[in-house]
Amino acid sequence: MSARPRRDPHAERERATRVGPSGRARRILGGAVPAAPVRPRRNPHVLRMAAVPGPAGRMRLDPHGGELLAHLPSLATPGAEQPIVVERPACLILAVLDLPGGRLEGSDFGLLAAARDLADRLEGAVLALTLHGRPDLSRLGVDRHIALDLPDRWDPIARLAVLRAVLADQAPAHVLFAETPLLGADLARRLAAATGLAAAFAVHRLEPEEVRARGAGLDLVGPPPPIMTLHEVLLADRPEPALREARPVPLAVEPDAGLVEDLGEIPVDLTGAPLAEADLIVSAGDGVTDWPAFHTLAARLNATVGGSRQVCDRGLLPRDRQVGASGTLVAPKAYLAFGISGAPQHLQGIERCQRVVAVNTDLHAKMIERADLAIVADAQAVMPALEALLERRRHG
Amino acid sequence: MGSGGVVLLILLGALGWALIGVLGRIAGWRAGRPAKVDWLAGLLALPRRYLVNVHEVVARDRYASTMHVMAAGGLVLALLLVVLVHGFGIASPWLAWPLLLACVLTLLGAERVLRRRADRPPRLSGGRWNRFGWAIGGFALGLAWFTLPATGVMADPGLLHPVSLAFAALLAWSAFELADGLAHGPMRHALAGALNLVTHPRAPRFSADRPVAAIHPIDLDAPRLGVETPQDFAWNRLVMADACVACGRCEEQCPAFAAGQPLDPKFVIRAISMAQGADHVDDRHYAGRRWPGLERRVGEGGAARPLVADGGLIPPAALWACTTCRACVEACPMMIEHVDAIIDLRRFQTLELGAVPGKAPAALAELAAADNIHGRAAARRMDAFVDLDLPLLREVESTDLLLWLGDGAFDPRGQRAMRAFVQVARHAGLELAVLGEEELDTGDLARRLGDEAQFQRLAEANIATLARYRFRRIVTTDPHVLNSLRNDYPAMGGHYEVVHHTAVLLELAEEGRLKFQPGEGQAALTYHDPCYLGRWNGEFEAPRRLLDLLGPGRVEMARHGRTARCCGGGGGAPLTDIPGPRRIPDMRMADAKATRAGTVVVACPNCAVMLDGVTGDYPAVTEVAELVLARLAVPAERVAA
Amino acid sequence: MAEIVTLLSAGCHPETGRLRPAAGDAAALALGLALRASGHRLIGLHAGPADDALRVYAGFAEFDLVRLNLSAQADALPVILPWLALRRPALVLAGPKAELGAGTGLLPYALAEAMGAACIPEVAGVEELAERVTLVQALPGGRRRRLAAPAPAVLVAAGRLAPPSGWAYARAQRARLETVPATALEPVAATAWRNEPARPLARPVRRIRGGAAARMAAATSFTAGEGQLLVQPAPDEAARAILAYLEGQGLLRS
Repeated sequence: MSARPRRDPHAERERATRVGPSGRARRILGGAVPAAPVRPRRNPHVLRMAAVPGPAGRMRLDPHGGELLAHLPSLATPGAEQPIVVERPACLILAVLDLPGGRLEGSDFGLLAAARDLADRLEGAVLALTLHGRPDLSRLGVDRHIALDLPDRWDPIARLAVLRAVLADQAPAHVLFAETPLLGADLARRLAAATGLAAAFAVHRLEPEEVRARGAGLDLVGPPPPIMTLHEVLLADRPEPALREARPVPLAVEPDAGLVEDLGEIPVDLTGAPLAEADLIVSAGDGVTDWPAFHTLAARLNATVGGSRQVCDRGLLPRDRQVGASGTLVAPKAYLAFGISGAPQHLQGIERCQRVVAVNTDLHAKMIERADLAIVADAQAVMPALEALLERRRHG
Repeated sequence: MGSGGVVLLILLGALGWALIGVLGRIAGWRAGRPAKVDWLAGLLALPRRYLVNVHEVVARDRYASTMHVMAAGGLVLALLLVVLVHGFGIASPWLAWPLLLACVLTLLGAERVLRRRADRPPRLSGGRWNRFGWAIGGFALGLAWFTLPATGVMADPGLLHPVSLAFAALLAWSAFELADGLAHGPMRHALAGALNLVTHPRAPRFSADRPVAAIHPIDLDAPRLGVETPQDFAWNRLVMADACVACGRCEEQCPAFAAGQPLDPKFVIRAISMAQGADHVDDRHYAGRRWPGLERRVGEGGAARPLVADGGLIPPAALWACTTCRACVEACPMMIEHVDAIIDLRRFQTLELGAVPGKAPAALAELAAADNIHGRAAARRMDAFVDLDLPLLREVESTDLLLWLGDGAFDPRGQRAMRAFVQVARHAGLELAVLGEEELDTGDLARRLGDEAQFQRLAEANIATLARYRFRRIVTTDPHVLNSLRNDYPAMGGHYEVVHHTAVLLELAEEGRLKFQPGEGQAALTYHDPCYLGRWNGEFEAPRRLLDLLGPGRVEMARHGRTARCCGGGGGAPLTDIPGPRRIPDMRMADAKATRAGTVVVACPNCAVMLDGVTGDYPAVTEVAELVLARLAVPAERVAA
Repeated sequence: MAEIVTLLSAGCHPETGRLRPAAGDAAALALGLALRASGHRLIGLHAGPADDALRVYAGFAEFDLVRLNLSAQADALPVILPWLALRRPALVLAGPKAELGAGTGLLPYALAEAMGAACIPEVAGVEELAERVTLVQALPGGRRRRLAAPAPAVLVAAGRLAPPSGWAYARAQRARLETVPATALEPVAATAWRNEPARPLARPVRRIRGGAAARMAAATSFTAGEGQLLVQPAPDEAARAILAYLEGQGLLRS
């Protein structure tokens, strides 16, 4: 791939232009023109090749740029990777990450992307606060990083104490949270209530001059307040993978014991949990005849049981298990469909599933088309095999 | 003492016994709520109602009809003559012979009763009904013995003769069995049945050509809304419940019963009857079939106890399994209104307890805040029809034909049929206007789910809207809307001429404004009667005549017309969704498949959704208007939208 | 037995804007009614100008209903606080967000802060209420967690909780509402915030650095979909593929 520098005449001309006091633009001629930055050239063939990972892969148009740019050395900063350093930021944007279970989640990426964007436009720096786990944030647009390791239990009071210490220490201009229940949304409101600082919740447009926060059927519009939580439409983004220093910042804080005592998670049999909140669903359609195997598998996965309309109509599953337009619209992280052909109403119901695995004997079933992992096989054979595999795995 | 005296004594004793029982029963009826009854008109209409309306239903079962004519006719004749022969002691053979003949007739009737009992179909109740034939027969036999001397065939053997003693005992037992039964047993049907015909709360159903099947409104400021205990029923509805002969023709017709859902219309009526007669009863002595799926259940109740409860005589699921299809009412020889009773009971559950199951509460909540059960803004009713440029009545102010879209406008299946109708109507040069966003749900579903408050609110709002415009007729593709506007709105002050779109299409076709392609080579079709067009509004013919104009090859399902099986979509049943081992629409599609027709033609958006939803190898489901559009002599794509 | 106050605000149908029980507050009421069934006293509290907003909740059950008479624009918190200080309830229940106005969901937190009480969101059920309250919190994916906090506490119901069953017209009509006059407060100082009609939610257009070529590349390039297809694999192979896939997504619970 060639990294031949390429001239950008537009940029050169722009840089050579100065606006005089009279308001007229004047071109500076001669050698006093500042050099335009050199951008590498783009090789479309390589781009295409890089976009198609294998013979099974399908090419898809990604309107948001996707991760393509990250894979392409041609577009990344050429030469050795030097982290971008912001030495004297105009302000600090504090991003308080969710890190559920100590892992980076989608909401964290979106939060950092928004924080990065705001910091860039205010010529500030992104300060990330993580309360447990030690994620590497250097490629997530983070300039400074306060990493604490609080015990992994729900203690909002301790978190609030940490947050107040950070505010006192670093005086960030804005504190950004994701509007995620029990995590960002909870902490942001606690902070707002405790400090009395102005806050905007569920911000869905974030500009340095003006933010739009979603109220009840209306938008609240105003200048960015100190505390903001980001609506989920902003959280789908991801920061550019440029290397930044993510400089560790120390923080001395002794969180006091809170009022709320976490007595631990209650083991819940999720097979009968409400479908709308489930994050793992195993679903049965007409192609399932071995019901004991289906239910054993669901219990083994502790996955919520769902079914097609036909199955519920026949009373093989209760009505509240029906997935689809006339049943429940589901949004799990993964949806395992056994023997479901994929009626339009059913596909409507699983529109918001993040990942779909389908097992069906018909190669041309709509469900196979929709699935991220499609297996053309008899559900009756796959279900016990999967169950046995899980069983073996459990016993080491 | 002569044998005639013995008969007199026994009959007087039995009469006294019957009187005590009947007075008790009357006291029970009087505990019900007051009702407006036109006694004179009722009494005058009694013979006609009995001989025409009741007979029409009874005669559908030939055996039962003959049996009833012999037993009841003989008994009534015998009782009249016995007053003369034994009461006044007129020992004339001119009277005695006819009496003897009446006894023989009764005896033959009793034999038929007993023959049927020997091989009792499961729909018939047992218990005291099993003794009923013996009682009638014994009565006739005993009476005959003591009448023989009066005919002169034999001399009076005297009471002390062993044979006379035996017959006296038989007569005494049977007379008291019948007399007691007048209040507490099978004979009650004669008394309460006759009274029911006089005081029937739906008098128009006997006289009109078309059944006027309005549901009675209630006063929403009353201290108790709907019916909780038997005493909350109007008294003539208590009489009606007592008229039940436990013949089980209703349960034979009930789609929910056939689907194995815990509803048995006979048990509902019998429960009301059982409960009103005592402070406390349980149904262990109930001699009919038990609630499907709840065979071991024991329910308790009483005249002042709740009828519908988990441990009550009627399980709540029974109430909510009903599709209000009126097949039971249509089948009842005693003119009992099962659906009215169920609506009355639902009203209490919904308005006072809020105990509506399934998705119905959510639907009613949406109805309250959005005026349709889908929770859509009023303007979105027109979303599927923007390209049709239907004139709004608000703009044109008057129209000949007002098209009432109904809530099918929110459903893709309903939209298809409505669009087809509009296209066909315009093709024939008919101008239609719509209310657009001014149209609200008619409140029909709310009323059937017992939410009378919402029905009345919506009806008042719709009537106020319609009062602002001029139109001649309202046309709708939805028989539920039709029934609501035509039958339920008059009591709220709205009187409209409402027609179903099949009637309009038939008019157009008969006027020659629609030309059809010859329908040769097309698979046979069968027509599924919507309950609310057929049984509720008596319109069976127009859709059929329309289909026959489209081409030959119409076949009928075994259950069609008045006895058509419901699709399962009425009365809010899809919302309350009471589980059962079978589904009503599946059974209906099996009915259709049995005709070997290639297409089931429906005329109701609910039927279309229910029957379309049946998966498997079944006939195609087409709405009438869609079929008409497809068979127009002009290709469908050239029919202007 | 303890006293519980559940805050009931005017709900608003999202499409028609008509009055209805707010979904979140109805969920909170469901928690309160469950506690009332175990013998506690439940009071429904509404601060607003009209009875109707409160009456829609009365249909759910017969319980005490109090309305603090307040204009629609006024801030509810300064009126609710002194009323609560007088009653000293063991629990205050609230819905996650109001369906009218700003709907920030901040009120329960501010209330708890002023009361010096714990505020617990996403509450799915209350197990025990005495000196301490033991409760169940809803976690994502249908999981549950048990928490304990000293009473008084402010509990915010999980929004997805079902409303109480059994809304009945007659109960709503016959309910008796107690109206408490509330002292009008001076109008809230004008803030920099203004209300505007809600704009449609849209993902932000990603700012691509590097000029036209990079933007073009971003808009026209393809990324691989996940589409993996196995045709007639051995059952074990299929099982392994599914398992590997689920593990890769971090979705397996042990």
